[in-house]
Amino acid sequence: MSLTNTNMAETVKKQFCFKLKANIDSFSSLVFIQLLAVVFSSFSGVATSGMSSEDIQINVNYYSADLVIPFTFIWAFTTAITITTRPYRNHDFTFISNRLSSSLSNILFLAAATILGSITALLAGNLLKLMMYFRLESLVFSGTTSLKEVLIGIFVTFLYVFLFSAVGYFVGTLVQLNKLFSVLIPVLFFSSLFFGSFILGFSFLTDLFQFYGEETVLSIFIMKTLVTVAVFFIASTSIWNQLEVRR
Amino acid sequence: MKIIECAGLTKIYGRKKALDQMTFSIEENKITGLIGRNGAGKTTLLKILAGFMKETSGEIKVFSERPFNSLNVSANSVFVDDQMAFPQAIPLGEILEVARDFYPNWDHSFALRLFDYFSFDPKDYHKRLSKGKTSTFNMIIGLASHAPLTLFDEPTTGMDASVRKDFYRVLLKDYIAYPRTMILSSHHLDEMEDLLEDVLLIKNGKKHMHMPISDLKEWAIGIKGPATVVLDLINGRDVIYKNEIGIKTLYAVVKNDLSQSVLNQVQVAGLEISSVRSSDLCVYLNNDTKGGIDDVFN
Amino acid sequence: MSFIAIVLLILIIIFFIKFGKTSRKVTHWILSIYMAVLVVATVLVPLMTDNTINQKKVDQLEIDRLWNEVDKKLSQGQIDQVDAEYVLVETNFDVGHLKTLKLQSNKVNSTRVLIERKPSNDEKVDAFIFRKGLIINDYDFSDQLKPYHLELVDQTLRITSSQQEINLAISSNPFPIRQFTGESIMRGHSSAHGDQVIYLRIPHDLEVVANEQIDLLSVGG
Repeated sequence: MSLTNTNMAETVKKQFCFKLKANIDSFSSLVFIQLLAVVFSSFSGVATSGMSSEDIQINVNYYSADLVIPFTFIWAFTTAITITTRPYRNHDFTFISNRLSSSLSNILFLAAATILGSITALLAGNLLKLMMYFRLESLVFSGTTSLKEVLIGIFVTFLYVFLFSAVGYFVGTLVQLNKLFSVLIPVLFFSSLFFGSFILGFSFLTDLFQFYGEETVLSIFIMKTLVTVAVFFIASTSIWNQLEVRR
Repeated sequence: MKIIECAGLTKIYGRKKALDQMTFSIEENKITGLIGRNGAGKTTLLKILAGFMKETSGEIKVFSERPFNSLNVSANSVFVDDQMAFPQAIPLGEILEVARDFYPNWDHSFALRLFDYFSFDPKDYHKRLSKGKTSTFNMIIGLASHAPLTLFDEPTTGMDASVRKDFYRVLLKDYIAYPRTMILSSHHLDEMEDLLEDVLLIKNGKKHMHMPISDLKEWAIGIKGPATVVLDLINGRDVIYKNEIGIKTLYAVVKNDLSQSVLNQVQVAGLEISSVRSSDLCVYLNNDTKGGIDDVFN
Repeated sequence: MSFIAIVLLILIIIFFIKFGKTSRKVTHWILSIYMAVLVVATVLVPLMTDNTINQKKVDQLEIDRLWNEVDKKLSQGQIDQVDAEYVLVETNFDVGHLKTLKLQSNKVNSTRVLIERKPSNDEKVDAFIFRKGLIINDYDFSDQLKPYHLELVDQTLRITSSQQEINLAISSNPFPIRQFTGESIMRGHSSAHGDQVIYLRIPHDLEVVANEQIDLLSVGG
């Protein structure tokens, strides 16, 4: 039997297509979680304002896809963790793989899933508007969004969601490295949440949110997120390169 | 060409030495049986060969490369056991197609024919298969991949006797049609004897024996007769096994290096000489004690 | 927005081609239906929402300035020069030989009434209501405004303002967009609703009496 020489690019491509098929169920959870967010949003909207005077009482409810996007963050995070777990890692090695190709195809899969998730998240805003139109008795008005704004929106959402998936992938890989992390990481996270402000005088997590969330220059924001994403994925891949597949 | 070369291969899990200074090599296009008791290190060895695990020390080369993380080794080998991981979301029929996408030598029509023969439903899912069916399906993947190095770890787990028979038959026929290097680890050496070309015996992580099966068949000799006479004869020799049969009759197995004169003596003394079946020999060799279970009752 | 819908549509088609041969799992259906629903929603939304409102994005300062001019013109009796869009109500009442017209308003705050005496006694009172406008978050909702109700009962012109409750649902951009366009979730959080000004053209000799709640002003000139 003659030996074949495979190259990394081909293998990664095959694995990527394979993962799209193998992880298809993650997309149904995407749908559920986004629909859930839309339903929640339709109850009260994301903000309200009102004013009244003698003659007139005005109540305004603001609706947007604002709730769908954080739900999508959660989905991306958990999907990323899921594909780092043992059964999913092992799928690659049933066929042709090495650890680098496995990780690269995982990243590609997460990117593709994130793209889909971001587009649907923003369009879910339209679904919400439609629902409001039929459901509410109040008047529904909507400002126009220019094409440029929509594209920015999708791109920025993609970066945020991808960021969460990168963090999830890293967390999942750490847990695979050592089971202790599955306890350590939640402990660290929650303690920084509650005690950060007491002990250290600042809240680590709010700073983190501000770092990304208050950046108004698009190019800097892109750089911040892409660098963070790259760091997490590179770290995860190098950890994974050492791990054994136990099956 | 040597497909597999091992020198001083050692694998340590925690405190246990699963493989201890293993040194051997396997030539191209041979079927080698990997024999040993549970926990002897067979699975560990196979997983290292497949690149799933890392060696702790020593050298291991498959296709002249270190198998861990080698894409080439992965592309040219397939590891079949009952724990083969298939995605739950992909039905069986599609798994075959995935295999076709990956493995360059994949024989799809062969796979389909086997698939039909064993009555699989292409819309069924791997998770729902029974133990025997799982092994059968995994075997189909392993065989149809025509991978230059095919590793089977207890491939017949859960299979009933007739399926096992089919398995050996199809394996042999396909091997003849498409020669490749195969390593089979199994408990059923007696069933596989006709299949194997070489045997690699592992005991406590160490290589105990590595030779063609034809040599193995003649490696030892069995002597049966009155206990005192037999004991006398085997005195000073390497006794592989001895067992009391009936009253005062002893059956002993020794290495077949008796000179002609000794053989004549034996025949004159009325002792029975018999050849030892390979599977029995492996069992005896793998024992840690020289006696048998009956000793528990003494 | 519909551009994106087309992109999604293409994705759905690719999706189906790719997976068309593979088994139709529940997941495939769920995902495809969801994407189709989103596409439909994206296409329908511009059709269903009232885009005329969008075109009337206004500037608060400009509104204030224009209204001041209107107010000036009204006080000078130049109602013909006032733009028609400020007119909320135009009606008239037959007062016959009424000598005194009482004005009554049910509001707590003062109501502004401008009186212009016509040169003749034509026994008719022409009434106009001018309004500043209803601006919420920089959008002009003026046509939602309910005018004061004018009713002539006996010798009293009753000015009733009804309690109006307006419930609005306004959709805004999600935060990834807002982060970079700088808008806040309530775009231009402002609302203003100007009062309504009642302008009466009365017969020359008609006397008008009003209680304290009515801010009566005679149109000069």
